[in-house]
Amino acid sequence: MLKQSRTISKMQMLFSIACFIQASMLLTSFFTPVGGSSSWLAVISSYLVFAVFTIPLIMLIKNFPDKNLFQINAIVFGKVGGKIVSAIYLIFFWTLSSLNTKDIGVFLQQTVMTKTPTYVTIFFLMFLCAWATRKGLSVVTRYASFFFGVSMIIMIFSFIFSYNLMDFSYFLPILDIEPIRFIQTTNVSLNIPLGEIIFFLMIHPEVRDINKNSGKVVYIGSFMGMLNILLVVIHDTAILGEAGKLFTIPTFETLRMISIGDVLSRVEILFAIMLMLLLFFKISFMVYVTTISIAEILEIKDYRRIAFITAALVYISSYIQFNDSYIHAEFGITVAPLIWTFIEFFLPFLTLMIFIVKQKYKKGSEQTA
Amino acid sequence: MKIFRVILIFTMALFLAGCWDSKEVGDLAIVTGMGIDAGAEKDEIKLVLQVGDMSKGQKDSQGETEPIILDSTGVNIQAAIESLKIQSTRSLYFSHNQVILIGEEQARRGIACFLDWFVRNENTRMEVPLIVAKQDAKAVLQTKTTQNNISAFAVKSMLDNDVAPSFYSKINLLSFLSTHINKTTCPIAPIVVSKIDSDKNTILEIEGTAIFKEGKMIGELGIHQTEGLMWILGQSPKRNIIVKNDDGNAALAIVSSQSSISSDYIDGEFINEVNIKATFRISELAGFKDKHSDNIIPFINDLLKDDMYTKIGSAIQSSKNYKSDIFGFGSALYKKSPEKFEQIVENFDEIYSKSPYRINLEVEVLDTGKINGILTDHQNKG
Amino acid sequence: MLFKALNRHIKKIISSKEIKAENEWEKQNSCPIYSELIGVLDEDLNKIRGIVGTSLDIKVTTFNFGENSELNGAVIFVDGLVNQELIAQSILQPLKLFKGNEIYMPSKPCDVVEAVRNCVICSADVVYEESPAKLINAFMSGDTVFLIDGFKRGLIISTRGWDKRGVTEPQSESVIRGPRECFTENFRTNTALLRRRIKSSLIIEHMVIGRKSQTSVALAYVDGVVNPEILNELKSQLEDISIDALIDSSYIQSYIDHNPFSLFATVNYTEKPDVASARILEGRIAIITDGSPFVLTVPMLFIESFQTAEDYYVRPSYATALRILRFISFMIAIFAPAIYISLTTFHQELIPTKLLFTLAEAKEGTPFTAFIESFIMVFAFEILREAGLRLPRPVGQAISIVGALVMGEAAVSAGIVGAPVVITVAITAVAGFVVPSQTDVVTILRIISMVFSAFLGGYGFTLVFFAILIDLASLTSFGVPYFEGLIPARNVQDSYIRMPIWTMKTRPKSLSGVDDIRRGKTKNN
Repeated sequence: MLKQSRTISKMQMLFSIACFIQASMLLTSFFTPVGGSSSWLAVISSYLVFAVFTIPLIMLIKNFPDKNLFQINAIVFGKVGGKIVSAIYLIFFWTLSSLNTKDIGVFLQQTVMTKTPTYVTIFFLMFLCAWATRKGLSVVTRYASFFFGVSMIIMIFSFIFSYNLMDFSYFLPILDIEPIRFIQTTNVSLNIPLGEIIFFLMIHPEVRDINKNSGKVVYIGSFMGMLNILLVVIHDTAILGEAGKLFTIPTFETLRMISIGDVLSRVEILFAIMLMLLLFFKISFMVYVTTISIAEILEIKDYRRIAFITAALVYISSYIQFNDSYIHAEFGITVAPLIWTFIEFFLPFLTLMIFIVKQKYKKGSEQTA
Repeated sequence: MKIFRVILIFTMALFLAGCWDSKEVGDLAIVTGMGIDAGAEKDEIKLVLQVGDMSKGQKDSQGETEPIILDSTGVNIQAAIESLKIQSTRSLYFSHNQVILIGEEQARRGIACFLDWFVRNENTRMEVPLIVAKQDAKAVLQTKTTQNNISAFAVKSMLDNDVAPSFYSKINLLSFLSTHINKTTCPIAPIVVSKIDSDKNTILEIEGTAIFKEGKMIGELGIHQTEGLMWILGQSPKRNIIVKNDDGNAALAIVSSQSSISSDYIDGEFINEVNIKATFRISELAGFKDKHSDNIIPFINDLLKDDMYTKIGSAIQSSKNYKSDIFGFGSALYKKSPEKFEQIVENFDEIYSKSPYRINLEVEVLDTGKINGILTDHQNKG
Repeated sequence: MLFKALNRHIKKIISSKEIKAENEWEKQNSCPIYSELIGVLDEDLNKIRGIVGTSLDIKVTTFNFGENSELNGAVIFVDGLVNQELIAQSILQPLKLFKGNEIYMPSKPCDVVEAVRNCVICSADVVYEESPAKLINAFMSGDTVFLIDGFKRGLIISTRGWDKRGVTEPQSESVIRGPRECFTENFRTNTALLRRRIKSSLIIEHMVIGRKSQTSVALAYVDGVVNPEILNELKSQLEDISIDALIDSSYIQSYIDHNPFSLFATVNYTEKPDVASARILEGRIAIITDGSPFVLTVPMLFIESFQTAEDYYVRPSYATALRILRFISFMIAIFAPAIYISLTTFHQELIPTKLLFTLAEAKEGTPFTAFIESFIMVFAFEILREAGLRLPRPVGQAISIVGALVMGEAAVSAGIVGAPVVITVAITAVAGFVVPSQTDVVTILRIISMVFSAFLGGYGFTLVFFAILIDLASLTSFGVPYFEGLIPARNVQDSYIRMPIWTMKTRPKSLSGVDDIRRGKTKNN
């Protein structure tokens, strides 16, 4: 069992959640083609649904303030069952880490460095993430507030300066899509950015005083993150309108069009910087969580020894993920929401239910005994 | 030692990166203007590139760089670039492209298929204006005006500044693309021509607006109609409006203007409405001897209104003659109520060309500026 | 299997060799078998002379004193370290005038040493000492040792007085407004300078480090404010130092620095007593070394490199502007060549078009890539800087002119480097001096970021930035986190901005242990 000491504060966790969700602004191209001009409503509704679906997670945090997710599984499902459920989570964490690594590799290849092979650029990223993991959670999440502040400022700045390019009539008519598509968009928006909160269930034992106000931390953090995604969606829809469906990275294209005065005209570099900072943060966090997960399952006492190995595994597995972003988008819209919902929301709910039933059963048997 | 191993690994990885993406500035051929002309064959295009020449000693007396014009033919843009690459010693760099010029002949043949390259390429930008060149793109790109050696810069600054109708700064590749993929709206592009004026200098001039439909140029609007177009699309020209009468003439500076369009489909009638609200200030008055300071403003007001009605009316009428909705009346109806839009979308061209239109103008001349009233008024008093 | 056994064997041999060498060294440096005074003056003096050698500056004077000159005494001192007048006035004169029969009777044996100390010697600082090692140490440090025949105790009388540098203006930390005193190489002067500023609760603990140099080292801290854990940790580390000679405080710095291979120093130093006392009052510990005008302060926070003494003496708005300027200069000093390289080599689309044309023309005749050019210029600048430091003053001017003209002007005209590179490197170089305590960090990081930018462009630059952030975040100085993150959560009044003094009500939490409030409420706030 890992001994996790109280190393980070609640504010750090809050900002980490916000940064985590914000880093998915690259992935808005998953749901905007489906949602069209109503995507922003889908984002808002997904937050409302998320607020309800997170209640089991928060209950779990409150009931087990010093046990991480895998330890909770061991308690609730028993030793063997716990290991099986934990293995499902582990595969999920691992897959998500490699998908995100692939994302940043693809982003770099498409926009910045078209000829350099991704395996070189991602190698350095993985090395840095593994190094940060070895130094501990406090280092990984140290800059969360800074990254959040910077990306928020950049987003607001670009919103203000592209105001002249925006045409808010692109939002009319409201809700022009079929209800089933709206639900689909909400589902995608729920699972891909917001549902990754499950990662934080692995680290909540390291947060000081987590049993007080843990709900507030999760809700406020995810709200701040979602706010940024909402800004991005509104910004893109207002500027690109119908043409937004064409581009793989719409935000990049819109930012290219901003020009401030005559001198400052290539502002997309800000988006690239912001995205790289956020994705660095997210990937190093995910590598950290994956490392601790492997350490938990294999009962390795010092997770630092496997940090580099885990990073290498994530790196290699990212290389064999989707090569075509169109198929990736298809997966993100059609298949992922169903699988991810099961893992991110249903499993914790199940865990909580079984825990409550067990408690009742124990109390009942105590009373009768 | 551990650090030694780490340094070794990093060095190897860095060398693996190989600087594949690094381009030395000296090795670039910076493309400032691109032109697409009609090729000899029906399905071929001629690509013309205006490249800034960086080699020393090529500067003219003013210290500005001389451009080089490269051209080649191919079945699509990338094919033409490939054959250009063989000729050019430096690698072509498109990120600083200022304009996209399309020769009139090629525009009439169709350009929709070539848009794909511009949108897909990582280096090209969506804010670049798309312009139709009256004779052919090569002529415009080869023009050297007195102020600018590189005509691409000249065209771009013309579109951005007060020299010509400046609303063209909003007509760029993105807007062309958006309107192109829209079901009912038709894209527009400015027309630029290279002329020799009376002093035997070559100048570039904007001659009107081209109307595209389904990727082909089907007609054009003249300067007056373009002004009307400007008013409707809400991008107020930053210059002065001249109004004339038998008694005199006046120039009015635009202080602010707002416009909106709306359409409705009532009882089988597709009605188009344009609402414009503008405020002016007098910047020059000449003549009007029999007018005084108290009645000059309403008089100018009426003159203005007539002028604007004519221009806007002729713009709308032209677009109806061409059966192409360049203003966005169709989308306005769609945004208002999609059901009504569904009823007219199949026969949209026919319905549009016959539908009535209304222009609602609210014009206000604010004041007369530095001088109270008219100059002649004050002349009369001793 | 065989290799493992061989490996183990080899390691054993090496380690045993090391242990043997240590033992030899220990033996050499410990005192020979002379652990207490014999009592017979001649023999003692011979033994002492045998230990310290026969240098001419170690003076041993024997004389008789007492009523009938029956008492034999010897005074040992080192010429040059003592104030000879003091010896004459406080020791020799009273002894020579000493009659004696008020204190002792020749027939009644009693402790003459005690009598002499209490009634004869006119000095306020007289100590008994029995161990010869300590007596030798005393007179080698400048005190005078007085031995009396027949007694096993000697007296150590404080008579120090040597040529020393007076308290002058500091060379490295100059201010326009504020005190201009600086520490000197003299130990006592330094402790006195601190005492003058903190008159209450300042504790100065003494220790001696260095076998051959026997250097005095003092720890100064304020009781009740310092964190006792840090203090104990520091003390145990200092006691563990086993070194021949302690020449400068930086030797101590290397021993107590927990992260020797990190780029950033975790032990700070200063030359000014006002700075040192301000730091002590925040909960830090100052280490004063004899022979070094630089006083170390521990633990160190990253932000200290950007805080100068003058910040607190000028008005807050100006101080804030200066602080921000320092941060920006630090960034420029590290990243400017890297940004130039990545922009002109990878990301030409970010440069405005007209500027790009100018750059392209400037690069026309030059043979090297941007990275090689920048590297040449940075290297040339480092050579200039180092040469400027080591030069004797009269030649300095000529070299700076040669450097500026040749390396700047002529290199550009000859077409070796382009003008933009020279400008960039010049700005970088000058910006590097805005934060002088970090020039070592800046030089190395600059090269690293240049290398990564040359290979990977803007992405490489981001990688280096992130790596620096991670490294900073993981450093701790004596358990205190070195860098609180780019947005400091606490103590924001003294970080990137400098708010008025009365807003800084509590001491930095991470440093201090107990006493939190340092400025109370005033009438206005």
